[in-house]
Amino acid sequence: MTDHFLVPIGRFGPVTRSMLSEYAQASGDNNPLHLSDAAAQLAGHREVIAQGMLSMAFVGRWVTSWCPLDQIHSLSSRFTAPTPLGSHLICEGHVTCKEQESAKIVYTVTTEMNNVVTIRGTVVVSSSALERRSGPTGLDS
Amino acid sequence: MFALPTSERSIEMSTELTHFIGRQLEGFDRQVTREIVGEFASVIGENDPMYFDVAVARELGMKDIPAPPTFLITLEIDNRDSLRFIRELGLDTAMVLHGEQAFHFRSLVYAGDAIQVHRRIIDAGSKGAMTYLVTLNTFQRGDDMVATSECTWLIKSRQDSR
Repeated sequence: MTDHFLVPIGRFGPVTRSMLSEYAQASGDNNPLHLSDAAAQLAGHREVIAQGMLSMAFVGRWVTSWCPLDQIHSLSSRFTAPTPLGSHLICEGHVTCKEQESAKIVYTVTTEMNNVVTIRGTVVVSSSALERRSGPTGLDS
Repeated sequence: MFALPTSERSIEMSTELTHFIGRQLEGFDRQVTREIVGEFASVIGENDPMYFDVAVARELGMKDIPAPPTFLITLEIDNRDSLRFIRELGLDTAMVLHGEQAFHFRSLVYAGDAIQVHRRIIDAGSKGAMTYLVTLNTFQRGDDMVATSECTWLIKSRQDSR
């Protein structure tokens, strides 16, 4: 009954200023909070902070490293703390509920240096995607 | 869970915001191309060849290059101006934070797809010192709904940030 699928840990970073401007350019998320230190300071930050969606894009990469793209049903994030420049991020999750059709994985993104949780979220995938995943990682199976 | 508004100002603000619930926002017709998917994939550090090489994607049984999971955000954002609708509602964009984002996928989006995006405000109000807006975005390919997303924006008042 219990399927001990261990969700691998994902690591990303460091988050750099050029990553933020490239992400802004590619996504259209041009909030000055991520591009201008002056705008970030107005909002109470020392300097620019990363787009929440950039971290969520890392989450997407992490999920697709252990689950095929077309087996993801939903992906949600709550942005709980700003991500400063230089951050190394760690994605960790565990299966909280597995039914015949789908499985729910609760995850966090934390900064490696001071262990601040920047995202709490949930991903729902096809249960069969996890069953197939006892072998080597990757999308090539 | 929701704190009561603490000042006249926030009561006003909250009433104003509630008024936005149900409002339709401008929709978009988007053409997904290999170039924009590839650019997005490369910027987020993706290195899976299926995002860059159509032959690899086809070998995996896909009709074209697929979009990474969070690519949909690029379709729902106002034309390179993510805060435009908030500004147009008369709210202070200097204090806007992206609070939450959720995607519900029904089908993959591929390069070559024409996607219609519909957006509307489904919730708004205040929560302690924060006011919030929630938009529901739907992504249609012809008659098929390929995905939906919900986006929560948090807006701090400048007074509270001092």
